[in-house]
Order: sequence, then C-alpha cells, then structure tokens
Amino acid sequence: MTANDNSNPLALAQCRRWGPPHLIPGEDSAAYDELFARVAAAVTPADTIEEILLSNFVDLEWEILRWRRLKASHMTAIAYKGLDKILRSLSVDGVGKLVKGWVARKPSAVKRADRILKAAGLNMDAVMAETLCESLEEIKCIEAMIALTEARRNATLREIERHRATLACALQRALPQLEDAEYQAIDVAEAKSAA
Amino acid sequence: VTSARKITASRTNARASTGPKTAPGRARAARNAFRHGLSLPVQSDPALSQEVEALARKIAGTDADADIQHLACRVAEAAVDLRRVRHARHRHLLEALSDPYYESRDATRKKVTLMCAILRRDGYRTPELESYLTATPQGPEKLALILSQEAKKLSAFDRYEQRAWCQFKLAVQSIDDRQPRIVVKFDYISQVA
Repeated sequence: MTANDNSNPLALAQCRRWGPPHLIPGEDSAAYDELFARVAAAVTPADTIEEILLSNFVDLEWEILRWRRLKASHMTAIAYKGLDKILRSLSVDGVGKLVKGWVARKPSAVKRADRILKAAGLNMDAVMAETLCESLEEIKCIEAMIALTEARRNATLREIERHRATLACALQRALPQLEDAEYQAIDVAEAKSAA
Repeated sequence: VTSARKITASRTNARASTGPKTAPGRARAARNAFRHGLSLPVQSDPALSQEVEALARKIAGTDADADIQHLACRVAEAAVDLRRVRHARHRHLLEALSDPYYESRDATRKKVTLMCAILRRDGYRTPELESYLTATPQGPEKLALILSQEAKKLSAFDRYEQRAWCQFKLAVQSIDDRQPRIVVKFDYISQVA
C-alpha cells in the first residue's frame, strides 16, 4: 500500500488527526504517511487509546529509522577525515589535494588512494575505523538516541499488548452473556399455534 | 543571620532599581526565565486544554460516568503532554538545523584564534583560509554535531517525555481497570439490539 493511492483513507485520516508529523528537512512526508498507513492497516486500532499508542509507535519508529540513517550517512560524509589522517600518518605528498579528489570521487584520486592504502596493507575498513575514532562523540550520541528511542518504542509495544489483553479478557468474560443473548425464551403454546 | 541594616539597604536598593516600567516591558521581563514551558501543566494553556477536553470526550464516549470521564481526562492530558514535549524537542532540533552559522564550539574557538592571528598580521589571508573560516558543517554532519552539542538539552526533553509517558501509561492502566465493565455492557446491549 502506498500513501498516494489513498487505499487506506482511515489510516491517513488518523495520521492527520494527531497533527503534522515531526519531520526534519530532507525527510519525505509521503514516506511517513506510508509507514503510518502500513502499521495502521496491520494493527487496526480498536479504540482511541490504541490510536494514540499507534501514533506514538509510528513516531518512535520513524525516529529510530532517522537516527540509523543518520549514523550511516554521517560516517560516509566524514570518511574523508579518516582517509586524511591515515594518509598524513603515511607521509604522503599532496594529501589535501588527493583527499579533495577522493571526496569528489575523481577516478584518478580514488585509484591513487586505494593504491597507497594497499601498499601499506590497509583497506577501507581502516579508513572507517579511523573515521569512527574521529567522530566517536557524535556516534556515541546517535547510538544513545537510537537506544533510548528503541526502549520507548518497545515500551509502547508492551503497552499496546497489555491494553489489548485487557480488552481480550473483557470480551472473553462477556462472551457467555453475548451467546446467551442469542437465545430467546419462547412460549411453547404460541410456537405450536404458529406452527 | 542577615542584619536589619542590610535588609533595609537591600529594600532601598530594590526600590531604586531600574527594571522595566512599561506594561509590555514587564510582560517581556516576566518571560526572562521562560525556556520551553514544559514544567507547566497542559491545562495552563487554553488551546491545549480544549484539545484535552475533546480527546477526553472521544476516549470516554458519550454515556460514560463521572469516574470514567475523569480517567479519560487524565489519559488525554498525558497524551497531549507527550505530544507537546515531542513537539518542543523537534522545534529545538529544527532551530539548530536552520541556523546557517551552527558550528561546534571547538571549531569556533579554533577559527577565532586563527582570525585573531590574521588580524595581527595585517589581514593576511588566502582563499583556502577564507573557505575554512566561513565553512560550517552541513547535512548529516551538522545533525550529528547538533545531537552531540545539544545532548544536555535533549536529555532534559527526554526527562519530560519520560514523565509524560509514565503518566500516560498509568492513566491508561487505570482506565483499563475500569473499562471491562463498560465494554461488557456496551457489547451486550448492542448484541441484544
């Protein structure tokens, strides 16, 4: 199901009811709507409390995906710092120019950087490890955000489970009454005359 | 113990202080200590109060008793509070992201030192130096930097969020403890009808 085909208008309406999603520049609101619609279609909230919990769950899941994406793209964006540090430690000439070319993905620069790394018995893993050291503080913060948001999302899941269990217990208790209501006491004489 | 003379002097000085005199000035000064307003209850905001009432009515349903209405109000209040905290945190992130000069404290210190050195050397500068001084982190690097630099403020928001979530959870549990009877009654009537 996609957000554009409006195949689940109820889910999308719920999405709108809790206010606009908390997006940051570069994020796609249609992707958020799609996530919401998919979760809503899978869960089918039975009451307002479940709708609130569902909205909470989707917000947290969206945030987790954002922080995970950020971790990967941040590492890629600053990989040049790791490369720069390694090349400087190897006393390579013209490091600044080489790194600039590598960032711009110039084939000659990429090839030269690979050759230098290979000659030193290193590869991109070493560059990424150096990058991680360079950005340890930021990565630590992103990891903390992911862990915190995952804990909140799991707490929301547990709450949905508990709330649904209560509802299920109530329905189970109500079942004999509901089944009794199906039967109607009829007057035997009346039934005979009708027959 | 503060002496009487000291107290008198403090009071005289306070009377002579040059604080804001006009009504708008006083109103502005009254908000000097205001940071995000998350410690205030949701009910203190008229717009949020209306939202709480509407949500509570939706949770409780039309023919709910006073007890259920009260519990629904607690659930609604906590839900609105939770969203208010998230919104405040998000706004804080967006403000930092939209600041074109956002830079790490460490890099700012280095740049200021460098600029001082340049000024001492009669404005000697090169294009590389200029681009280093004017460049600020962008994209994922900027967001990661914001997370790292604003960690203290973000953790304050997290504490508010945790509090709102706990209140919401407890309120939902309270209403669930009462709700089964309502569900049974409602389903039974609808089945008979």
